[in-house]
Amino acid sequence: MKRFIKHTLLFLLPVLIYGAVVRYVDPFNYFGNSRFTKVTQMDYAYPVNRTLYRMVQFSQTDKNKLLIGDSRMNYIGALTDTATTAFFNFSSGGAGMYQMVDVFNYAVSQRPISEVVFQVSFDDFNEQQDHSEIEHAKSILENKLLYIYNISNLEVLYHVLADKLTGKQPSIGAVNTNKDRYWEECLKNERDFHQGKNYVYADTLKVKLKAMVDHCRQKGIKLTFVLLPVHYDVLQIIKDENGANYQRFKKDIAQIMGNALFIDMSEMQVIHNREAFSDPYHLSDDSTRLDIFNRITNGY
Amino acid sequence: MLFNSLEFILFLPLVFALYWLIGSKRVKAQNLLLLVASYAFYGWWDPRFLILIAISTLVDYWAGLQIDQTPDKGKKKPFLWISVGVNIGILGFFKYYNFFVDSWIDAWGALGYEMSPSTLNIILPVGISFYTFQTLSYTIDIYHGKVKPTRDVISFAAFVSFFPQLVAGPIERASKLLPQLLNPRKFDYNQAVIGGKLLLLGFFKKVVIADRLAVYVDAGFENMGSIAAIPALLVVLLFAFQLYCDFSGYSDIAVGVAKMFGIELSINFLYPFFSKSLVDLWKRWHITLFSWFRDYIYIPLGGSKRGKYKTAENILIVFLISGLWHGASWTFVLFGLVHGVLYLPYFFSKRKKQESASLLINGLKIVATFCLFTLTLGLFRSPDFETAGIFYRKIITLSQYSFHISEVVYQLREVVESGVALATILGLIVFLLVFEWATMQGKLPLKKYRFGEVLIYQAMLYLIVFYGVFNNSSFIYFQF
Repeated sequence: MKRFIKHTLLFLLPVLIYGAVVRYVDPFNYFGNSRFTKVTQMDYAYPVNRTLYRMVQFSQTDKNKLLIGDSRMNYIGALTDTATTAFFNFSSGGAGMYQMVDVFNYAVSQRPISEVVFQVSFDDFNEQQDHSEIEHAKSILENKLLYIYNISNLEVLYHVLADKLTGKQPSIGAVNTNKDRYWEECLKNERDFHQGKNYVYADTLKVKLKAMVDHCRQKGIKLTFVLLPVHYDVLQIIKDENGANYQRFKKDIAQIMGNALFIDMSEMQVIHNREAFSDPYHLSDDSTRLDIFNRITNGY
Repeated sequence: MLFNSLEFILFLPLVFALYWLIGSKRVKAQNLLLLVASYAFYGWWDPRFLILIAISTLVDYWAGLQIDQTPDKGKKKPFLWISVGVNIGILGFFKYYNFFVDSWIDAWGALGYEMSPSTLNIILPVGISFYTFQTLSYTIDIYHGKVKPTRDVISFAAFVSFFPQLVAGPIERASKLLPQLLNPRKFDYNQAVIGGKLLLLGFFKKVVIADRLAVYVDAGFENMGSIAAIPALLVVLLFAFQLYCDFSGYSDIAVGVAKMFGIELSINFLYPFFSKSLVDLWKRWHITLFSWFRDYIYIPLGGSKRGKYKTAENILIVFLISGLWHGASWTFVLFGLVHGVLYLPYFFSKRKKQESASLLINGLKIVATFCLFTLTLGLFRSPDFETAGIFYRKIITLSQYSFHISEVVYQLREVVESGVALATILGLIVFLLVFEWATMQGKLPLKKYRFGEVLIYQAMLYLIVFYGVFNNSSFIYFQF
């Protein structure tokens, strides 16, 4: 019997040691005592598992005003990471609108929320993009073992170690190409996306958004819908290839929002300025980002 | 409690430690622990249904003793019927009541008579078909004089509810499991190690392969109407592996855990995907269920001793019942019937004893058997005839196929979002098949290369830990 227990423990030893390392390093600051700095967490943990990262952060803050969106909103909300604002940035790159609604439902189930700025996006208003990582991240939050043995931790540790050994700068998810080439690739993908069968107008999402609006009205939560700017090149493709659905989308949002505020920034002047964007979707100009941040958080 | 739950990770070492701390000399105390642990294991899901297991246990314990004590064979029968009646009655009510009421209403509805529905909101107790069959075999075997009843009610209750195999088999016979529970068990290092390996293999099949495939299969069958023929075929192919890994994974864990407790359970799967015919396959797939049907239905009906027509009739009856056993739905009944019909030509084939030595011929037979079996799973997995109809129309109608590579890739994306994810899971399936084939052939030189063996099982462990799905998904066969 002793031999069996000894051999079993020996067999499990690597996994047990790994678990102890993760518990000690705590890459996502799950236990609140991560050995990584905030910057390292943002450079490594966030790009590896954005949803989990945001949810862990949310569980450790008492802010009750939220920015919910995808990478575009995250670019704007990144200002909250450094500046002192009342808003918590619950946006994460790659999140579709189905996931954003799940983020909202998760947040209001955790504590009273007073204000939500919610990004709406035509590309994400797509039945095909109904994927949501919230349930999975929730199960990890509820169980320490699931967190410790989550593959995201392994990925983070690997990248941190590899970059330390090679002396490289953190670059998870970075696009390895020049701006012009990447710009053209994005436009081509956007065109293919609307020309192919990948876009299915999300009628089921309307029901979810309506329920969200109703919940906010009942609970007295201030809700703002925001349509963030993308570069004119993208907007033109959308209008050319999927114009009818785009108009329908805007009309539906206006219909759903009820008492909510709808800030439509899709036709801002900045969309004609390529220099203000890092790629056709993401604003990189700091003053514009700050301006948008102020407008959406002050509701004008 | 599910095997693939974190509760079980704590439960198993605790029970294991207590069990061997009690020691092999105190058999009754060990059995009492097994009974308490088994009831806790089952009650974790819903404690209300423990009463059903307790009723079955007490009725069969009592009936077994009465049958044994009654000298006149004719007078034994009422006790047997009480046992059969109570067990089948419970099973019938909880599993089939709504099915038969609905079917009755539908049948009258088809004749133009409207009937008001009177179905009940019944929850199907997990594993009821498994433990009912197990405990039924006890009284039937006593009636036929094959087994002596036990007076030790605790050991008998532990036999009925033995937690590793309680909810999804293997369906054990009293003649095999009960004597093991009544006699002292000694801890055997080698058996415990084999048990540990089976445990790992079972978890690998379940949480790494089956639960990952479940995402694609569920999505595929939900959208069967909109996906094209090739993705539909892919979905049913993935389902074949999901079903196998889910169920055989459970059996591996059950057999492995039992070995760690010094108890031998029956093998339930014997490399079924390497079968050379459907007859061969049904000897390797869910072996304990089909041997149960053979011994308690097929042989009592006359087996193969009353001529070809009667034999064919008996085979069809067994497959129909087997279909119905799998679920209270006509799709399962038809699945059983289809297999019965497909089984007959193989069974009566005059060349069935001629074994081909050609690797190519054997390979083709294996592939053909697998394809045939997989195609019938479309019926097994479909929630209703409408979905099954859509699936079969899709794969039969040639116009549904497109072989233009970009179009096929696009179509496959409707089922599996990422090519890497699909390649990974297919790679793992291939690994499993190679592993099983080599084990089956005795060509896995693990005893010679211990380091290699450790590496393989370490790899399985890491895949379970880092790539496994732990979302409390239950095993497919729980619903049966």
